Amino acid sequence: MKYVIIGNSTAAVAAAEAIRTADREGLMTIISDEPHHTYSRPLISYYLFGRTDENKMKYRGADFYEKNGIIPMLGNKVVGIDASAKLVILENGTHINYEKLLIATGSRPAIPPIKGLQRNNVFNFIKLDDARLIEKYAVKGSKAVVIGASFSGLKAVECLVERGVSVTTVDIADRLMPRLLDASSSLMVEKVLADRKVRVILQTSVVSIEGGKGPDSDAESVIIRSADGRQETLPCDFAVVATGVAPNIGFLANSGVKTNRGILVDDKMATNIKDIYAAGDVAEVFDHYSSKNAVIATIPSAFEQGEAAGLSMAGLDRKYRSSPVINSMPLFDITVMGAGITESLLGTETIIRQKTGNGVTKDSYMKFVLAENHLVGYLFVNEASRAGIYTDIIRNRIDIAPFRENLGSDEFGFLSMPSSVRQGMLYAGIET
Amino acid sequence: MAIDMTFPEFQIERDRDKCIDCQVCARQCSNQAHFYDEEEGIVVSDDSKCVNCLRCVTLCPTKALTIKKHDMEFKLNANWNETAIKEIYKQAATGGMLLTGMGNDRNYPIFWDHILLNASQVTNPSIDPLREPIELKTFLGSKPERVLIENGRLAEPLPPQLELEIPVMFSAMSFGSISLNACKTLAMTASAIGTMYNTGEGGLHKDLYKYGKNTIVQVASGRFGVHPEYLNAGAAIEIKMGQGAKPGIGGHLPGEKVGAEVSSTRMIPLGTDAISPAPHHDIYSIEDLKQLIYALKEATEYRKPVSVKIAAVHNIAAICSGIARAGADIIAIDGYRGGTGSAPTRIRDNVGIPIELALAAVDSRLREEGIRNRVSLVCGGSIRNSADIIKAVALGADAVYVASAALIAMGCHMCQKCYTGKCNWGIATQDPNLVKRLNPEIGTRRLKNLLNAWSHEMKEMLGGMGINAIESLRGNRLMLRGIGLMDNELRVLGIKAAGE
Amino acid sequence: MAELKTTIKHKKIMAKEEFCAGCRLCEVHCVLAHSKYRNDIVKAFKKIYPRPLPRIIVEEQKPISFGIQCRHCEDPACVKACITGAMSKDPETGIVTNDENRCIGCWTCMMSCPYGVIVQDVKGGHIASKCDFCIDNGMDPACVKNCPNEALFVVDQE
Repeated sequence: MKYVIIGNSTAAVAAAEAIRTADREGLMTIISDEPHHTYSRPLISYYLFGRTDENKMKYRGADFYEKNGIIPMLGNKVVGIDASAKLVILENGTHINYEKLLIATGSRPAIPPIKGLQRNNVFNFIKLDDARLIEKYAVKGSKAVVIGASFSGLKAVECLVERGVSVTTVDIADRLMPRLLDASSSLMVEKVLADRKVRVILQTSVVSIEGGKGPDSDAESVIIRSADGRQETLPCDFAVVATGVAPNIGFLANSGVKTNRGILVDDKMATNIKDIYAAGDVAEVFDHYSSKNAVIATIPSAFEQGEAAGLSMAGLDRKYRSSPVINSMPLFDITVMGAGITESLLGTETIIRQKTGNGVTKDSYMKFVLAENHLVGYLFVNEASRAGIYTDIIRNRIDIAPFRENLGSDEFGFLSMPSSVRQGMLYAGIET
Repeated sequence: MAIDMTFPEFQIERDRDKCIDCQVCARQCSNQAHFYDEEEGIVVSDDSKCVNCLRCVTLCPTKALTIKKHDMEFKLNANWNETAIKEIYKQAATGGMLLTGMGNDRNYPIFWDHILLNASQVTNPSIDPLREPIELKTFLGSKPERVLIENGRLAEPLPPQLELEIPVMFSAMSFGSISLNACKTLAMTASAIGTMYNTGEGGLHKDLYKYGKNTIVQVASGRFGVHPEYLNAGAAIEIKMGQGAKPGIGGHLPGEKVGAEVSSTRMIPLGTDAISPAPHHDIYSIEDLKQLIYALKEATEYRKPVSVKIAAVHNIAAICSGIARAGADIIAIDGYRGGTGSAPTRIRDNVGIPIELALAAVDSRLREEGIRNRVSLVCGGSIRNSADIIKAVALGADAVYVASAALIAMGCHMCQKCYTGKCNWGIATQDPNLVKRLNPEIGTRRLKNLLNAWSHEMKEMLGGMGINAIESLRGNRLMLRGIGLMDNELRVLGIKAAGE
Repeated sequence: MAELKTTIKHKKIMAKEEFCAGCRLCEVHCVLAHSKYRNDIVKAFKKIYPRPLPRIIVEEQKPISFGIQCRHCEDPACVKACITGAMSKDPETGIVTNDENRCIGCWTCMMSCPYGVIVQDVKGGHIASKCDFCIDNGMDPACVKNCPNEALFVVDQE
């Protein structure tokens, strides 16, 4: 069997490892447009402020490809797929044939309609090479504008502040990370940023990035316009654009692979074309929790999808079932965690627990989103202890009616649940 | 506000160099003698709350704690000693009776420690228990006048007997005075070793019915938990006429200790005090006792021996003669050192007589009257070790009852605060926070170890005497000598003085 | 059809809630076993600041209490969720460990663990901390060994 995987990140690695648990003989090739050993993309902000280095950033050990019998073709961009001939077409003209193909090409930055994005010192913030470019500009005392208060936008803010850069962040929404946070939690994050002298400008769009003559010359300022029409010019030494991501499917234009926002897959991670699978940020799956198709761009989900795809490719009858989407973001000294549905949608009920810090503990915020007697999502700020139990309650649709008053209590744990529920969760499948 | 004139009985010494403020002691002390001072970040102690149960000392991971008798002293006085003075302060403050737990702790003579055993040397060789089997098996029950044999078989069936692998049983401790986990430990051990345990006056918990063939069910004056299924569940029935720790008065379990399980097992309402009256109100004469004995035998179709338990008091010999003639199969005599979950201090410490003297007197009298075969004698009331057992058998006992020793094996540290229900070892309590501390698996392991150890020691002592079966020692006063005893004591015990 | 091959032993530590006395000696011994003064409990607690966190969580709602720690799951959610690859399951021993050098304290594992047994070690290096089955102590869990009431026990699920 010849397996070809396009992609070198979480979903790809998970698929490769999954295939190898069932098939140690088949040939396997990984093709990536990045020249690096598999590494963890979210670590680029940690790289920038020195918490990790290129070696520690490796997602798997240095001997990963060799140990797993994988031929790595790094620094090779895929430009198309000939499904009938079962060929992957590379930019350099090479054709790679496959028997089973996995597309795990991940995300690409979403390009906002802003003039001036092409300037030299305007950067994306998605991969290691972006971080390496930013490194040269992000020096102590410099000024930066971060466009987009998304998850990665705020992580960019964090590492730049740690490098001594003076940062302004701009977003069109009325709150930070609008898909994750609500008004209360956003205020808590805004306060942390304000404490670090970050200027936060919300409900404001970016008009253009201005600079010297010539389209490629360095940016010197960012022009913004607020909702009520006022315009302001923000001087800067460089800018970071973090307005979101989209599935990296451009190269599939003539392949016949069916896409929507992402590549459409069934519960075996198979696309509409036989022997072609997709997983990770590039795939669009059926999310059982929101009951609709979704691109779930998180590492835990990418791993699960990659693993399922790999097992399917190796011939096992494994169905993928989405887990609750989880996002954990530490930012300076605050921690934000969101799982499942964090918005108060129609038909849901919300329970809020807010606590004031006592000097030893910090101010914290817990929001539980319920549908009838099931937890469908939670949003925590500065409350991390036992969070996984709540995720499991969402995942297994545990009936929370017997213990809803205990949700978010200080000592929440298995003892907050009735004995029968607790026994089921703790001892299921274990013989003593 | 009234002045508290007493000072603490114990002082808690904490070695600050070793203490790591882990708070294990603070979490474990049910009397809240230790607590964590959040502000200072250290554990501090209140001597006045300490009862010297040693739970904290045992669990402390750095062994930083020591409990001592409090250094504070009254002016030395051989008559008005500290105990005498403090007892008056307490009663002046409360107006109540002094209560206490476990057995008489006063400085009366311990006759076991004045009795010495024989060993064979020249004329009668001793037996090595590692080379020859030594029989400890004992049968309790009425034995016939003579055994009639026809064609090599018994012509008449024997009265019902209890078969014990060793001559040691667990004495009555009610569910209520001790925890269910403690009861389970006794039941599991009795079952594993092949002996009996006694329900006491608390009835039999439903979880323990499966140990029925190792259970003696007790019928006490309050008749708690007594119903036909109960009577038939055990291997024998014991009528409790008295108890060594508190002869002449009944039992008292405070309402706080009557939780759901105790309530349903004793068949009394939740939270009510369980008071056993002093007499059985249907036994006012020896004839009434005989009536009850036979009523119980009828109810169980004469398949189970009926035992009568009495406290050792004056004229014990005459009393036992009457009980033997009333149809009892076993008489259990409980000496004044016997333990209890709760008793008035004055009764516990001043009423009753030593078991050694009582046992000897009863055995002698029954033999003189030619009725010794009608009953087996069981004695209790501070059997502390295997030597006490051997001496008891030689004085006339068929078997002994142990209770305090069993609880000590489970973890009891003799703080004597059983009546508070705050036993830190999970034994004398119904508080679920405390009961769980006694793991019956561990308790059983330890109690089995104790009985096995005692068995080995008994075999050594028997072998040393040149005896290979416990029944050859029964009532064998010639194997004993007294030391430091007066003539009348030697006479009551029926033994000679050492050297004679 | 291909077969899934697995030879991983599944050792787990479990608790008997009916015997946990809530004393937390398990926590004390866990800290000791993971400290640099493994044989000196006084030094382990007095000389190291900040005090290392225990990796066993004792839940208590009187009168019930019990200790819970990493179950070294067959299919560990934390390993899949880990963004750095620091969490991994050893194919020989089956033990799941966190490479403290690579962990950057994102806490995603805390959100994935269905038992909620990963703790946030904020003071001690800002990393996720959890039971490692005393892998450096001869795989003889200190909590099990030192529980005074035998309320913790090892289950070998092979």
